[in-house]
Amino acid sequence: MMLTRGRAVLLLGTPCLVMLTCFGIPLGMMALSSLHSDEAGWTLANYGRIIGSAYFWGVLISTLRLAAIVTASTLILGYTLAYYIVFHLHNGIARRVVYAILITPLFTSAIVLSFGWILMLGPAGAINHWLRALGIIDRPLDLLYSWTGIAIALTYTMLPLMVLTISSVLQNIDRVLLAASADLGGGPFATFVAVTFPLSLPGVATGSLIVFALSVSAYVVPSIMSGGRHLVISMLIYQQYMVVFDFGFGAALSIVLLIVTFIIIGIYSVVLERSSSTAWEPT
Amino acid sequence: MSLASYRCVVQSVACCLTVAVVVSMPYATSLAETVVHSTGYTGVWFDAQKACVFDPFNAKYKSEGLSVVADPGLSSTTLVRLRSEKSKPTLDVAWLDGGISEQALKDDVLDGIEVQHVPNIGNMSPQGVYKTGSGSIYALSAGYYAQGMFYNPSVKDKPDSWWDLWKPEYAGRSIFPSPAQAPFVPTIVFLNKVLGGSITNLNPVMDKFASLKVSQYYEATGVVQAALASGDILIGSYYVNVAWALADTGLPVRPFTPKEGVPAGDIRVELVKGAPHKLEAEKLINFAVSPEALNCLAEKLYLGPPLKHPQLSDHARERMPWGPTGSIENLAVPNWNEINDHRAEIIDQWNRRVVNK
Repeated sequence: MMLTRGRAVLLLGTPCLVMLTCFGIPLGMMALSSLHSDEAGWTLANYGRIIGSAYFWGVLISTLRLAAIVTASTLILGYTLAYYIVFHLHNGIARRVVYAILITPLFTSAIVLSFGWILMLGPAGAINHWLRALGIIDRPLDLLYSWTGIAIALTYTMLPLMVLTISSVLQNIDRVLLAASADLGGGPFATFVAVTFPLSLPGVATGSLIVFALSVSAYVVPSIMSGGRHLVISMLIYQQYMVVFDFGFGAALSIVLLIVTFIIIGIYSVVLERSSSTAWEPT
Repeated sequence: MSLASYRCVVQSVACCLTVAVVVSMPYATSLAETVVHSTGYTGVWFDAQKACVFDPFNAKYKSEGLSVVADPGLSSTTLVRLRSEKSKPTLDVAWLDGGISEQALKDDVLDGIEVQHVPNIGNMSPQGVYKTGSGSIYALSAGYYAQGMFYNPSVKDKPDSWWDLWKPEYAGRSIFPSPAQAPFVPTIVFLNKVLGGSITNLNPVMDKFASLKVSQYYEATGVVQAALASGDILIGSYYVNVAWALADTGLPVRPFTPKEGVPAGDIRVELVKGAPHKLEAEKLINFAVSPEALNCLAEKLYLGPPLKHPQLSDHARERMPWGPTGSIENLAVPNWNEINDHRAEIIDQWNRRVVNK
C-alpha cells in the first residue's frame, strides 16, 4: 500500500510534535536557563564552575561508573535469562509466568522497590541472613547504603528492560542457522559464540543503551539506597533545584550530563556497529 | 421533508437540548463557585492541614459558594511552582517553611497581607507575623517545630547531647537529615555555632561530621519511620513533633531536646503575588491563623502555636518545641536571610567534605 504524502506527514509529524513539545522545548528552556544568572545576566559562568572543578567531574565519573556496572550486570543477568526463556523454556504457560514475574518491577514504584531492598540488604536483612546460614560469611556484609547496594537495586529495576529487549531479538533468530552450525560440527558453545550472540547484538546494543541512559539519570533509587553517604549527579542536580534554588547551575549540570551521556552512547554505538559488521565478515 | 421526518428531527433536537442542559447544570453551579487554590504539605502534615484548615473552611463557606482546593507538595516544589508561574499564577495561597518563605519574598512571588482582611493577626504573637523592611506582612506562621533528637528506649544510657551521636556504641546505628531535608541547613549552622564556628567558618561542623559513623543521612522522612520500625537505629535527629507522633503510634522512639538546644523552624502561610482570588485567599489565610485552626494543628502535629494565648491540652503542652513550660520566646529561630545567603556554600562543603569521603 502506497503512503500518501499527507499521511506520511501526519504519521511522522505527530510524534515529532510530541517530542518537540515534551522534550525539545523544555530542554531548550533548560539550556537557556543554564546560560543565565540573576546577577550576571547571560553568562557561561555556570559551565566554568563545572569545568574548573575536579569535584564535579569526580561525581560525574562515579555516576558513569555506576551506570556502566549496572549495565554490565544487567546485561549478563538479562542475557542469561532471555536465552533460557527463548531456547529452553518451551512450556507456554511457564514462559508467561516467568515473563509476568520478570516485568513485575516495572509495575512497582521505584520508592517501594528501594524500601524493599533496604529490608533485604540491611545487617539483619535476608541476604546477610542467607549468606550466614550457608556459612559463606561470619559477619554481615556492609551492603546497605553503599555503592554495591545502589548497583544491586538499580540492576533489579533495570533487568526487565534488558530481558524484554534481548529476548525479542533472540526469538527472531532463524533456527535453521543454528541447525546449520550444528550440522557443520559446531557444539552448543561454538554455535552461541559464532551464530547466536552476533545475531543478538542489536538487542544487546538497544538494551544496554536503554539501561545505561536510565541508570545515568536515575534519582529515586540512588537517593534512597545511598543513605546520603554517596552522591550521583542526579542528586547534585536535585540539590541545586530544590535546596539551593540555583536553577542556572542545576540546568548546566543537566546539560553537561546529557552531552557526556550522548558522547558515550555514540562511541558505544559505533564500536558495537563495527564489531557487529566484523562478526559477519566471511573468513 | 415529510411531517414524520420533521417531527423526528424536532424531537431529536429537543432531546439533545434536554441532555445538554442536564449535563451542564453541575458545571453551571461550579461556575458560580469561587475556588481558592492553595498548596499543602505532604503525609501527616497534609492530613492535619486538611482536618484543621481545609475541611472546616469548606464547611464554613460552602453556603457562600467559596471553597479551597489544596495540592500537596514540599515547600521547595511550591517555590519552584511559584517561580515558574510568576507571570501568570494559578495559586492563591502558598504554604512554605521558614527560610524558603524568605527566598520566595526575595524572588518577588509573595504579596502583602492586609491586616484589615485578616483580623486574626490580632490574636497572634508578634514573632509569628513576618514583615518586610517597609512593614508589609509577607507571611504568617502556622506553627513552630524544632529539629531535635530521639533515641531507642532499649539503649542503656539515656542520651542528652548532640555529641552522643558520635559515641562508639551508636556507630553505624545513628541517623541524621541530608541536605534534601529542610531542617538540614539550619541544624548544621546551629551545631557549627555551638562548636565555635560562624556562618563564614564552617570548618568546626564539617570536621566533626566527617568523623561521624552514621547509618545514613536520610533523604526522605519515610526512611526514618522504616528505620525505626526495623529497630536498626538507636539514635538520631528528627523533627521533635513528628517523633512524638511516631511515639504515639507505638514505635520505639523517645524524642528529647539536647542540652545544647535545638534549632527551630515554622510552617507559614503566604498570599501569592497576582493571586487570581486575592480577597478569598485572604479569607482562607484568616481562617488558617485563627486560634481554632492553630490550636488544632498544635494538638494534631504538636506544632507550637504562634498565639498570644494558646489553648492546649496537657498532652500537647508536654510535646511543644519549647517544652512544657516554655514559650515562643525560648526558641532559637535562625537568621534565615543569612542562611539563604550561604546555603549553596554550606551544601557544597558538605558534599565535598562529608559525603563520598
